[in-house]
Amino acid sequence: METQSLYTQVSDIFKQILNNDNFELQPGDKAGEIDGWDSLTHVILIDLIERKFDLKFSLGELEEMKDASDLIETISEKL
Amino acid sequence: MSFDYPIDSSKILLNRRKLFTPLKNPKKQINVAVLGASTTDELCEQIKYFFYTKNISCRIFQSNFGQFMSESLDPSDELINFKPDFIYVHTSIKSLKIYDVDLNNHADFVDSHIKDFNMMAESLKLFNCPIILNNYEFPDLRLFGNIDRLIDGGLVKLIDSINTKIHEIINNKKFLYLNDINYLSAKLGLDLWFDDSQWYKSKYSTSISVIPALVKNIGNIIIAITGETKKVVALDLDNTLWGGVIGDDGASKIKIGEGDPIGEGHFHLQKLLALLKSRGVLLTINSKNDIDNVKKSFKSGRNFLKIEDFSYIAANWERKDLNLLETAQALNLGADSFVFIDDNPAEQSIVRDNILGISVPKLHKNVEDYPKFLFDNGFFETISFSNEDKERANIYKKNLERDELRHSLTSYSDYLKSLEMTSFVENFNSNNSERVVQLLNKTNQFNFLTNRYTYEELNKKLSSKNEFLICANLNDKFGDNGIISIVGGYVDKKSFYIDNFVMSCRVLKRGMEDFILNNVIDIARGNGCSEIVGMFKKSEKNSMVKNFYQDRNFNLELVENSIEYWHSELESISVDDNFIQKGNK
Repeated sequence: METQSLYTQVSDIFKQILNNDNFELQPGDKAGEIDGWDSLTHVILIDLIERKFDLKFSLGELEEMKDASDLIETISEKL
Repeated sequence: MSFDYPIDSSKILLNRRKLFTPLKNPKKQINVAVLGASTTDELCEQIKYFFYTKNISCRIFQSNFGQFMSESLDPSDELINFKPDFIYVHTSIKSLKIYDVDLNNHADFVDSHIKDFNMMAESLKLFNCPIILNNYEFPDLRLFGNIDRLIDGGLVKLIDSINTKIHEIINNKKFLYLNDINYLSAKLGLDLWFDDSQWYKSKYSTSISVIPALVKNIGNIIIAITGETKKVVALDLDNTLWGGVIGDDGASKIKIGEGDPIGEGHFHLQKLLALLKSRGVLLTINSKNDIDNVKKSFKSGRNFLKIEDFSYIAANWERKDLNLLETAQALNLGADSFVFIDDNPAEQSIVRDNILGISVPKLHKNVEDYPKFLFDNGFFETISFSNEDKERANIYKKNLERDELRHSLTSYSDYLKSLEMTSFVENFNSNNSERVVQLLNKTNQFNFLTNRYTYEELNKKLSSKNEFLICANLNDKFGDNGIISIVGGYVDKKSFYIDNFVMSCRVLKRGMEDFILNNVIDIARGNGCSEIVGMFKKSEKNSMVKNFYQDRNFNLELVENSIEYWHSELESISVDDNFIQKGNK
């Protein structure tokens, strides 16, 4: 899948969870730096992403994910 | 609504965030304290959302992380001031720490854990509210394999032993309620239930995706404690109770019973409905059909259910919502206490859209799943099983016979005389407490204040010696109706105040209300009172009693906090109860 399309699909989940229709995920975005994206919300986001793309992140992958570009890259590797 | 079967947990995770505009007209307001042994943030948010979807406004107290034990033994001021209506303790096998236990010492571990469990329960008792406690899930790995269940040192056996003791404790203490996560985790599957990556990262004891099912399980218990469960299943026939169309296919060709897969599915559904009936849920028919065809089908002997199993039959060509309202009226039950089961989405929606509060599952052409729509929605979740429940369908049936007798006699008083009614009155006690709490919480129409009580609250209220609560059964020549009325009150100086006064609608217009009032007069006189004060508070459903005291010449002397206070001197009350004799148990 194209990276841009992944950003769009993941942004859709963020939009709903952060309750912000205008939100567009940018490569450098990080949990803790975006309004509403805290560690607890992160858990929910990951769960929804896993189910949307029917994949499971390993604990190691989750620990290594530092920002949105890592997240998108990991999804893209697993698809 | 979103927690309905089949539960869609992604949707719940998404929707629960959007909907936090306050409810405009909530049915009630409850305070739920969640004492966690692990992370409970998502759980708490979803509990709020669960009640939101039921039009109940819910406030949550969430303990600090892992502080379930200290909040139980030495509650914080925050928890005390929160005044919980319900307390849920979220423990799990993760908090049990079974992997830390030396496998030669399992027996000691069980004993000491049960001691802690008891201490926690006894301490939480001081809150005087229902306490909802978990048992434990099975571990997702076995040390020995299959003999784990059998031998000392086996982890499965360890959980078995602890759970058995927990169940015994909960069963013996009325203020404790079991949230059976051992069953729930097995139903969903342990591999789905646990997610160790969540545990290591965020200390969630379960995977995120099972939280909605867990919340629904807890929510259903709370709904059952408040008495808001369903009482009747109204059933469509063609392609619901049996496969095919009786009017087209005929009694010998419809699909029901062995030999045809679809027929077996419907037959199994009928068996389950018969079991629901034996535990006190009424069954009725709501079908577009000629009644003669319906009778032919039941006469053919191919169905598991008999036509006598139904408390009311509407088989005609009327609109189904109208039929259902008529059924509710005939049974004297609120239409919102019905579940309507019909395979046709158009019929589902006409009933759903026109009857407020009714439950209409969205089943369609999947007979193998019909039982899940009926059983996995908590419609009939209950906290007890009383003798009245066992007899309920029978009692309603007898009511139809009474109706026939009434129509055959010329005057209503002849009818009442012919019933040969007796009533046995007794004080609230441990034998009748289950039924009393049930009746107080389930009765909507003949109910003067619509106060709802848990067993603990009622016990506390009655611990004062000025408080009274009596209950009465009603017997007649058709049989015993069981305990059908409760009246409570208190003495204040020379006045006897009647606060809670409820009666089951199935015995209305039998003179029972005046018989009860006479009993109250006796108590008032025995306590040196000179007047009786009846209290009434209008609700959405109790208009049938609004003129009760006025009709008996009481005077309205005060309205305070929407409660009317109707006074009458004891001397001047004359109540007629010619038709009911005092009876023995």
